[in-house]
Amino acid sequence: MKTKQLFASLLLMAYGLGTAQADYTLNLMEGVTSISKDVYGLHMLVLWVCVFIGIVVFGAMFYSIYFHRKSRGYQASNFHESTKVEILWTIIPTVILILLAIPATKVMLEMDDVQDSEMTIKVTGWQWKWEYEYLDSGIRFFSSLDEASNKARQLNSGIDPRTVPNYLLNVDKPLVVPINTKIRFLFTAADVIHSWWVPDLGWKKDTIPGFINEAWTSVEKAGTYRGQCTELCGKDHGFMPIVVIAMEKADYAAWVAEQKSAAVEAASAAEKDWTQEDLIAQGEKVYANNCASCHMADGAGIAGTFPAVSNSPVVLGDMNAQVELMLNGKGMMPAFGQMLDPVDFAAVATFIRNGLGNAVGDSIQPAAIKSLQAAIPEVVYDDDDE
Amino acid sequence: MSAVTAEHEHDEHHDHGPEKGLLRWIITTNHKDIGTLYLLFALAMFFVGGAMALVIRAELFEPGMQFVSPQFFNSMTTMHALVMVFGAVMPAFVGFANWQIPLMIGAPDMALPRMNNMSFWMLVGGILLLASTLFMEGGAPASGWTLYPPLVLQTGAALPFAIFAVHMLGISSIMGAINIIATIFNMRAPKMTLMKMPLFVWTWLITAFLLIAIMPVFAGAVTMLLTDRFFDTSFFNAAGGGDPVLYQHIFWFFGHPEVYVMILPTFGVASTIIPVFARKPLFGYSSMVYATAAIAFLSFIVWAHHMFTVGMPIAGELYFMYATMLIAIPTGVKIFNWTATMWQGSMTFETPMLFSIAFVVLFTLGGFTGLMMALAPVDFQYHDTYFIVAHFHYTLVPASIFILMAGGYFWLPKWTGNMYDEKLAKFHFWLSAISVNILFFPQHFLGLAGMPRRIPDYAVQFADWNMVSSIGAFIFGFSQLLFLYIVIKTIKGGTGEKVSDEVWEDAHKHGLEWTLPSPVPYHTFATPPEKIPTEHF
Amino acid sequence: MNADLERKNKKTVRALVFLVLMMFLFAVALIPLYDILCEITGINGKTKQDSAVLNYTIDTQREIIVEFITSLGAGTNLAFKADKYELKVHPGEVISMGFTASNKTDQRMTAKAVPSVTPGPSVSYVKNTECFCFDTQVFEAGETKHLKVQIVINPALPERYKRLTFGLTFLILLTK
Repeated sequence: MKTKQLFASLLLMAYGLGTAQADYTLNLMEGVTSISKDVYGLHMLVLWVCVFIGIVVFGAMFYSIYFHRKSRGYQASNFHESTKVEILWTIIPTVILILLAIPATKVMLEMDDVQDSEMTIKVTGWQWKWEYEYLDSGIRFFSSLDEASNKARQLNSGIDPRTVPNYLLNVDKPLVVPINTKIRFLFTAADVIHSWWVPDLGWKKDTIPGFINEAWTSVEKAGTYRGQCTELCGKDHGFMPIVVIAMEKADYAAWVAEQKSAAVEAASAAEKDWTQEDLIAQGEKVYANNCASCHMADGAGIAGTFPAVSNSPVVLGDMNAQVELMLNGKGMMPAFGQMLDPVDFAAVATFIRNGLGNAVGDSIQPAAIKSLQAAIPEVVYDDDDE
Repeated sequence: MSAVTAEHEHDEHHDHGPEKGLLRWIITTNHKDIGTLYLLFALAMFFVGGAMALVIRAELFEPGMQFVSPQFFNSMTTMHALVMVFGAVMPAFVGFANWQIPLMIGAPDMALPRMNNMSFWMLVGGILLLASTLFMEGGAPASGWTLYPPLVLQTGAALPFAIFAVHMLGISSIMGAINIIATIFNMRAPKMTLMKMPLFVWTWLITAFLLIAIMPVFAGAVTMLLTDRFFDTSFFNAAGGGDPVLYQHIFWFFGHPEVYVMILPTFGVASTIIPVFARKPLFGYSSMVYATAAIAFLSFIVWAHHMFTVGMPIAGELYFMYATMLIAIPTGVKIFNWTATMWQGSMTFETPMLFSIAFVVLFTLGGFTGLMMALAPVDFQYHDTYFIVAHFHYTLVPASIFILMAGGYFWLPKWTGNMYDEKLAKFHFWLSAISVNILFFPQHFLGLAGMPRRIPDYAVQFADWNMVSSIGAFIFGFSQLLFLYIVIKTIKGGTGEKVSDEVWEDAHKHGLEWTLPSPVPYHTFATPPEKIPTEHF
Repeated sequence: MNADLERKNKKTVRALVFLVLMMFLFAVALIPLYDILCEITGINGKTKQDSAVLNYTIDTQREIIVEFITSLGAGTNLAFKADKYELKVHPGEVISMGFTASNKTDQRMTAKAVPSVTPGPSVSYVKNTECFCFDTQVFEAGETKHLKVQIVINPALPERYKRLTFGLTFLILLTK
């Protein structure tokens, strides 16, 4: 397999790029917004300017290297100064730079104009997932690496990433937006600096704890667009992708309605009594997506850095202390009280007490978690807002 | 080690030679010995940093995690950068400065020989302390060489040690810089006026001032990190009224000139080598000096182009975009001047010249991508992708590193009196020049196609070019063992052919060092030279 | 080495060491300088307390939207929301907004809110006359607090700004 790939890539180099895989790109993508297309245009412009300058400079240099060599008997001249030439090759680049700066400034101003947006989405970076909050409709959820990628990306997982669809570029819950709508994004972070980048939208923006940044987009074409965190944010920086699904406006409205009823359902799920088996089954999934990257899939942790869950005195001890730790975090351990809904939280708390080599035997109900969590109170909106 | 040979050859000519044995190297204050120490240390660190790079490229050879954990991967990218910048490239140029500046300006030694010794051992201490963090609880720093808070504050036990290491490296650099400035200001031969100094000396003079200006700022920034972590200050902590972005401003106020610290002496060495093999004076000597000064000045007012995406107000973005674009002008002047120096020369292509030409060509490519990313709106796409990785590696590896190789081949015969094996050296050049492009050129494609930097694993559409890049990395890495072999062989006697005093044809027209005997005696220019070469007039 | 050269070297070293110290002080001075620069240009969108009595004429012709958004730092286990998400206001009028924050832990918590206004350049027009973010807040276990922010927007705010965002992020300082 490896030799085959190696051979394939060498072949690729030798015979040009025509044989490349279909989803393969060599250049910046043009994207699906007016801004991304402007950026692409600017990129191509400056690229061609560089190619042109390169041809002139390298042309002169290689001409000289070929003809002005001692082995051809060429006698060296002795010139070493020419104010005229020096002025010329200062002025020409200056003119080129000015010609580049004009369109660049235009695009910059356009990017900066966030006013007159039709909706706002708040994006919060967390180690290592994204939180999306639709400020106009109250929808709020976390988006993290999907389960299949997460399993395959473990050290020596034995799973070939090529068999995983959209490996490392897929999430459990994508961001959904309507097309042809000016969407304003507000960016902030909860812990360290992250950066939110979807190449097809044409920009990236840093998310900084304590501060708010903004940017806007208006997607012209329905489709699924993928991106990643681009500011080093710790261990799993490479594993917090972004997926944006742009929909026709009607589909988007349906999606919003669906989310709202799902939220009601989730609230009632948190009220009902769960059996231990159901909690453990649900908890296993939650563990794989939220805990396994540090505490490892088998709960063994990483010595010296991440404590083991299996046979951990915290897990084997008082359940309230364990729940408290999970809710509020400690050191590198994030506060999951802010990330998991009551059902998932209760499920994973129950799972680690009864799985991964532990057998405490007790369980906790979502309703009990709900009263402890920093639940988000109802948002009150202006009625005349619509 | 080169001076060891010198010692056997020339001991009898001098009333006092070097100390015998190991002690000589520990207590030496001789600029040639210290230059040798710096160069050997830098070479060792080049292999250490290179090994770390190979760990990175091995993990990235294929999608999926095969060899290291993500945390260790991040430590590798961080340590690779710190070791290469502070342990390899900077010390190597200080090594050249120690050897060459006194020889080029006709001085008997550096102005402050004892401090010279101290700054070398401080460097060794700093790097050892830095390396020791690899074995600490929680691992070595893994937040990138930029050490951005709040992430860097999550470092384990290693944080204070890494910061003290940075302090030591900074003090070492500052001492080296003070020494170089004092040497150039006070020790020049009477007829060696400033505008007659070889360009290498000029670029180092300007570099030394850069170092003095920026190293204290970096020390200040990391000290504030330390107090934020241990003494409850809130310089960069939003909760206490600080701002993490402020760290980035301070860091890049240091960081941007810092990259020029690595490239300006590169320009100096290239400007010294190219005229010798073109058999023609350097074109536009004074404009080269002014361009160097202009680049140094500009380096202080463009820092925020490293942070276009942090959310600066539009006026700031535009200012930093325009200022950054300006750098293209003096840099362009330099490239045009080198081309004009070659133009109508009578060129030969010994290894130093080959490396220098490759430098001009490949550095220009790095310059082009630099111009591209100067445009702020496009940088919103390029920022923190492999396109950036490709850009700065083009300006560091086939530029600074190639020129260090060129300088090594250029001066080693002078220092040791032995000729290196030209055939092997040319083989080393071609291997390096080809593999460096296999290594870094595909990274442009990866970045444009959307691969972020500093990730240990990637989506499968990036697989092919990563594999190509990794293959290039291994060829490039192992090719450098050939360099090591050639250097050792040259020190031990080389091809057996004793080189002439000027080594390269008519080199004595270009610099004072070529008027000295080969190998260079342990003590030189006890009395300042009467005549100085005036080729560039 | 002759005495003259030694003197010259000492002089050079002294001057350069002085330069090093100045640069170190410069790095430290960058902290207050940055704050001043931010106040003028709004680089980081931070607002400062404006205690001055503001007598703006209310511009009833113009209506802008002020949006209040709340965030929490990792480990800050508070429930924290503004009473209303957004308000339509006239520049010059006094705008009050209430917030609720409750400590969801069974421990005492000390936290501080950090204000951030966007778009950045509008910061100097947002006069923050009262804010719980000026002080550190102590929450007893389970305590709920009703907090208040009062701002006035300078009517000189350039026409292009139609929507301002006033963000507050609660960050935990201590639990005890």
